[in-house]
Amino acid sequence: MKKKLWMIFGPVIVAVAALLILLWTPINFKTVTPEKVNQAATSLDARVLKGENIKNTAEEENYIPIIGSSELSRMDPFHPSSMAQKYHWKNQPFLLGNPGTASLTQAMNVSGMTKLKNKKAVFIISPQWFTKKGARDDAFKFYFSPLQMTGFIENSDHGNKDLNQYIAKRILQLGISKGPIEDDALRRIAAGQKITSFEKFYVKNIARSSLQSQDNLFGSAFLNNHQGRIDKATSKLPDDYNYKNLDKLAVKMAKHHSRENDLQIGDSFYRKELNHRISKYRNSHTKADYLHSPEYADFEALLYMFKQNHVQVMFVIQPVNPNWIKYTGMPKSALYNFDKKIKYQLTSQGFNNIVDLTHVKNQNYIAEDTIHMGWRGWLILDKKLQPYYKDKHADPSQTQYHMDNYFLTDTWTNDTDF
Amino acid sequence: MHNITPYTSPTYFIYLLLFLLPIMIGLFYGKRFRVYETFATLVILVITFFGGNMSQGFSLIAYVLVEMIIVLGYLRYKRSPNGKNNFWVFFWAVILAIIPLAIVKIDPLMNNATISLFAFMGISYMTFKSVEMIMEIRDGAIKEIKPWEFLRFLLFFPTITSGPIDRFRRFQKDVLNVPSRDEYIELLKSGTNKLMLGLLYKFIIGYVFGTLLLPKVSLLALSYRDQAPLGISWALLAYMYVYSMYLFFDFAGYSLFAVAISNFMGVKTPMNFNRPFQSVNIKDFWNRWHMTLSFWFRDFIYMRLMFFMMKKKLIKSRITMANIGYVALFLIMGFWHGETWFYIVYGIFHATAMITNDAWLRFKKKHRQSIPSNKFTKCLAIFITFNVVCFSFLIFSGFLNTLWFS
Repeated sequence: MKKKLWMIFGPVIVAVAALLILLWTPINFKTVTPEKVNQAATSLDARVLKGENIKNTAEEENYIPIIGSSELSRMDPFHPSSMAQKYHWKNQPFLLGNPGTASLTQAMNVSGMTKLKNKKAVFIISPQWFTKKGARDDAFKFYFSPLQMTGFIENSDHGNKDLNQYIAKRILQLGISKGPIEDDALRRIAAGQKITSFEKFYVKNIARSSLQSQDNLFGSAFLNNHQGRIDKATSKLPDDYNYKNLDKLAVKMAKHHSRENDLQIGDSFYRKELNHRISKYRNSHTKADYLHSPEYADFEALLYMFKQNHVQVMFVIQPVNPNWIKYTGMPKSALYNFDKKIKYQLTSQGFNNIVDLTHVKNQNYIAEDTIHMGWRGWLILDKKLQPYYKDKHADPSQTQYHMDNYFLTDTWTNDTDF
Repeated sequence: MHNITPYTSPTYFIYLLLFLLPIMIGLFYGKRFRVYETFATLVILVITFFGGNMSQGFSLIAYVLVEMIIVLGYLRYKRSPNGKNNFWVFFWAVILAIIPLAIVKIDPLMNNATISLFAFMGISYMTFKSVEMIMEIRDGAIKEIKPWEFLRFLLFFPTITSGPIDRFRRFQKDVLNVPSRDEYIELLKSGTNKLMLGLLYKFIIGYVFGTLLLPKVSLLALSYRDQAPLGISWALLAYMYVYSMYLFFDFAGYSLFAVAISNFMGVKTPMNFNRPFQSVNIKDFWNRWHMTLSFWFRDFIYMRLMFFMMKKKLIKSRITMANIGYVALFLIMGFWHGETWFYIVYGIFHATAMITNDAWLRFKKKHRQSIPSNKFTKCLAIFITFNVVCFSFLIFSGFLNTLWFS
């Protein structure tokens, strides 16, 4: 009888035991190899963004993250990953950003990058995030990482209380629910209370340790691979680095790839996204306004994360295709005001390294399509990145940030007087 | 706390197995703890229906009471000494039993749709069970249903949300019986196998097709929508196969869970799938796909309609009669899935396929000598059936609606 029962349930018991061991014992399964990190650096896989292990491994090797959104997938020859490979930069870009990732998603992402401490990062800001409604909840949910959330909850008893309260409130507001215990902990943090000792124990030892094991086991398996695209891109670059020649090459290539429309928009993008509804966009942005947005407070949360780890950051303000601005009738003041406001928020707190591409004189082919930088846009940025990428360690004199909680308030998000 | 949809999260399985353990130990030692079974059922129903705003739970209670009054009322009428087998009483009992489901199905069509009174997970499957009881009462096959027997059958939690659809008399036979030790060990064995196979189907294969691949091919197909008439592309073809695989593995996985948990409780709930993609023709397919549903439609719609037409001598030709039956059956099935054009077209498509298949089988029988039948033709038959079925699932998926109209 016992044998019969064992034949039925034995395999299940063994499987359950194996699962428990995999998920909850502190055995570290070394799945991240240098090749994996290299692949992850350009893979743009959501699992890289949502995980922790592979990013922290990359921080111990020669990578400097470029954090942004959809522009990172515009892998033309002048894309930083391509340029860094071709001209042998000392450090390589590690790309973190997808269509729909904005400040709050990236704040959570940076909070999980513990090894970024005292190192450098690049952050690309898109004016289009700063809409009246702010972060879209579907995109936020899609990129929301339970692993990073458990890290946030676990560390909620130290750091800036207003910030923790703000982040917890926003997570709940955007409709995240990952389990009754986690939800309650978030509600407590949002209300300015301490989480209970049981919640701390559960989140740290049950939830987080299992998510960490899952990240170790599966976080780098079967990643998207864009190495082929990067290799193809680099093959089009000349062997010697000469900025003027590269600029000419960028114009030539961009012209070649945007023959089918007169907006300097890449043909494949135009065909796929715009061809049939282009007329809908004519004068559709005449009321564009990037001054009133909850995104400013989300962005402040991100700045706090950089400050907490003493990260030296180069901020890049992404350009918009000037022909697209004209076609959609976007008022000049919209981008100008946005620029002024975001720079005020940055510089008044000590974030002084800003590469502003919205005000480059020659704006031809600065974008690859409508709102994503490419061609000359990348090239102009590369010029700034190359010296920055010589050393991955932060210069302590450049990380003297002094944060102001005013930037977390609704008053600031709607402020037009600065 | 939110509702926990059965069989979707590890938490549900942990709760479920915890509550099942006493029942299983009892059955192993030849005892059925009826009071405990009732208690466990109640707890699991509360977990399933009373989370969040509880409206589902109240709808469930209201619905079950209404159905109980109808079914037991009809039984009383049928058994009363001067009760006759009046067709119209029977007719109205069936109509009344279906009304709550009809309201739920029509509600989304209304201009200002309300969440209707009876909206809760599993209303369809409970309605199928109720209608089956009424039909078998009329036939005289069911002679007695006690109120708690009715509740136990309708609220049998392993199958409550999405079937398989059991039959009352079959179910009674199992719950009134305590299996012998050897029988129960066999049930444990088959239950464990099914549970594990279900996990593989739903959470691994179904996940790969549904969560990993489906959004990708969907985006791809949408991005090629302007390249060819009707948005036809290779990506659309890929969507068709990926969706079909997802549909099968997700639902077959669920059904395996439901049968496995029934087995642990000593109930041999019938299986829902029997290698449907190995079907040699569309009729064969419906004998292998969502079997308890198709058998229900066969027994209680198709056969009844055939019998009715024969008795009244409405139509002479048996072939025409069968064809009308197919159209009625699949149209009703289409409307049952939902009031959208693609579910109804899905129904018409399958009716057409069945009619064509019958015609082909008649043709084949007549020309038996000249039509070859070998391994190759069998493979061809399976291949054609598979593709016809996958195409019907593409219609069913509603993706064409997105592709063409939004």
